[in-house]
Amino acid sequence: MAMDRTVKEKNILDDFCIRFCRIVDKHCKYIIVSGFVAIASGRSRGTEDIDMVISKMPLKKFYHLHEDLLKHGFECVQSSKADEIYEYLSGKNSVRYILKDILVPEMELKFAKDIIDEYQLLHRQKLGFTELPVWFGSVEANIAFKEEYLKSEKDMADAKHLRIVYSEVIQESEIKKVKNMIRRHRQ
Amino acid sequence: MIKEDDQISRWAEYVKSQPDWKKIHTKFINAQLEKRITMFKKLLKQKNGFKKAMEVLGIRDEESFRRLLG
Repeated sequence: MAMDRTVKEKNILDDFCIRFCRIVDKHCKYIIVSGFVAIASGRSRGTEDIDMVISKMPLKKFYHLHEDLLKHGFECVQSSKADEIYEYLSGKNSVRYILKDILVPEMELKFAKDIIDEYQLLHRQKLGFTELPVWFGSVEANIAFKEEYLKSEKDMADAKHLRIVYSEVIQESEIKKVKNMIRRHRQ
Repeated sequence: MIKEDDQISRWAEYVKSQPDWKKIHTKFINAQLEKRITMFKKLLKQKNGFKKAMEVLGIRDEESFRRLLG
């Protein structure tokens, strides 16, 4: 068989993310947010976790998602029981999933908790530049969160990287809009 | 001395303009994670390594950790 030269380069984080998102996508709406948006867009820094926000759902639906993840080799760090994990998530906490026996990387999962998360889910994007077939929170929303809410040195550097890489497509008005939402609902 | 801020800008510009960025980036990301995975494997072989690995990962109960290790 001839070698497929169109296959794009993927790293361990990419593969893990694609594998996880493929399962979640069958059950609910999701977005990848924060650090991995910058890293998938070329930012050169280390990380072991990927952050994901999923739409809220009833326990029964979550049970099917959790079972599907287990079937595909994932384990939740906090508990093996869907109802316990659901309780964590419903209490606005995040839970971590890893691939059994490998331990890193991990997916940090949480339910959409307010109007801003819902807004991000509604305006989710596939970022062609990353060449990853997964849904991301918009570049503008990620920049807004990093500059207005998270503000650590690492987050400001991520935002700077995103601003340069996506300079031609970024809408400043959208960043301002999300920053205003953050001021109203998160601070 | 190059400031970190300049390094971020220079690398971002490189990513934007050079199609081979992903090759370099993949090597970097994989090396970091492979090192971490190897560290856990080594740690688990050490005396008290099981508990140390639990601490590093922020896992509180042994039963959960055993489940994660398969």
